[in-house]
Amino acid sequence: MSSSQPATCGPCSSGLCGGKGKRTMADGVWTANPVAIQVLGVCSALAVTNRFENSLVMGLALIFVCVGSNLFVSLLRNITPRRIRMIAEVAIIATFVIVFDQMLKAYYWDMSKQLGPYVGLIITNCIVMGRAEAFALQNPPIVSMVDGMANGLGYTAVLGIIGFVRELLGTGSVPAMGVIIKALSWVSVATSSLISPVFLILAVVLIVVVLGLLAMRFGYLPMFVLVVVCLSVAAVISLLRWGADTPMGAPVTLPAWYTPSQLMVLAPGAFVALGFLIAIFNAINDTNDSDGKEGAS
Amino acid sequence: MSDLSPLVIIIAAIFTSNILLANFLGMCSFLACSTQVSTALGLGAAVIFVMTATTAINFAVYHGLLVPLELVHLQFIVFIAVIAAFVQFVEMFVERFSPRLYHALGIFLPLITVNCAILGASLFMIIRDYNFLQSVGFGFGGGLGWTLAIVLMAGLRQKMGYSNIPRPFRGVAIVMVITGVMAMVFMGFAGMVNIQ
Repeated sequence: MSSSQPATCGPCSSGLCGGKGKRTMADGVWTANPVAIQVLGVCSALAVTNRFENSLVMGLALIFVCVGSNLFVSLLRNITPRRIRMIAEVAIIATFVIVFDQMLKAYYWDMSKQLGPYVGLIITNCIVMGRAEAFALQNPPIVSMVDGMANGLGYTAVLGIIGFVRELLGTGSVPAMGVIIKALSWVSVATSSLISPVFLILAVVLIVVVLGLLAMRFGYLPMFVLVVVCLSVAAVISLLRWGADTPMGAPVTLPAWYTPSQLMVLAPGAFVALGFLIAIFNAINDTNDSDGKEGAS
Repeated sequence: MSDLSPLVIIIAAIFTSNILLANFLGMCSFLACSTQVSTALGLGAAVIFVMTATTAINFAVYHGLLVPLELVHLQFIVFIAVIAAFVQFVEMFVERFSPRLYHALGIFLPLITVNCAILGASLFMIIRDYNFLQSVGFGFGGGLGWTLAIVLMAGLRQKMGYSNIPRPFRGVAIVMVITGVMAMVFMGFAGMVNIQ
């Protein structure tokens, strides 16, 4: 299935060499993005993106499962018999899915109801299986965890974007985004009362410089995605902390002249939104490298 | 919970809550195998068979084994093991007794293990609290609905080979958009019966 996937372990296939971690990260998040470029794991990308917060929690679930299963598949890679490796992978993945599902049921029951069977369906998500098969089986544990993290983040970023667009166009406002903005401003207020403003400014400058350096190393789009992802993780944490319907922050709302179209929240909107997102990714990649890629199939 | 007759559930699973177009399950193989009508039909037949059988087996395992033993939280791993074992068994059985059928379906069978529509059907059956006949009806109707969608798509994609598609949309993107239009068409059936 992952035929169009670029060689993640090309020049430095022997052991854990310096550039590999960063390369793996950039590949997973951007250049070989599991959803938009490789078109894997589409089922859940379509099903749970009707609301922004659902997409983020689903992304978090995939990061958790992907990191955990990659770690254990990699740890066991030398003692797993070749013939039964698939069933071993499925068993490892299913274990992590069960753990996450039980956690969700225990601490965030509403979300567990909303996601329905789709958390369980991470077992058959091609991304998790694909990374275990294509990466973790050949690589040492730490790099495999980085790879799982990168692919999970790439998935989360795409799901976050689709979820945001669908909820915004479908209902006219995204309450969860308001929670994020509020949480961020809360963090800055809280920290500014604790530490002196000079340090705060220094910290901001430091973050900007680090981001700029990273952007020069990897290009600007991956960094943009990384920032989006960090915001998303902050959002998930704040959602778990306060829930979406607590009166925190004004929701991001479209102007009043826009009539929300229910269709975007329903099934057809999902397909169309993902189709357009893939097209946008293709267009950007076409302009980036001249030997552009033609979809995945 | 629901006292719908199995026949109604079959109709509903095909049209109003199509497992692919309304619940987004089985997208991977839908995208990969919808380039030719004959391939789509072969895969569809395999899916109908496996889905009907595994919903029945999983129903028996869930209500006969997991519920009495209070091991409900293990349902994911048990269901996927049942599906994998069943597919493996069917593959060996068909290879032994009907080589012709094996050549028609054989290549699709391993693919089906990781088709999320199969596992999804079992999970929906638990969530919606169906009885045995309803579950089998749901599995059969779900498979039929999935087949209908992939065959329609394959026909469209064969026609599409001659059309001039904007460059970024070539490949998967245009398939997604067309599937969206198809989903909209199927939403037209929505008033008939509701099994959510």
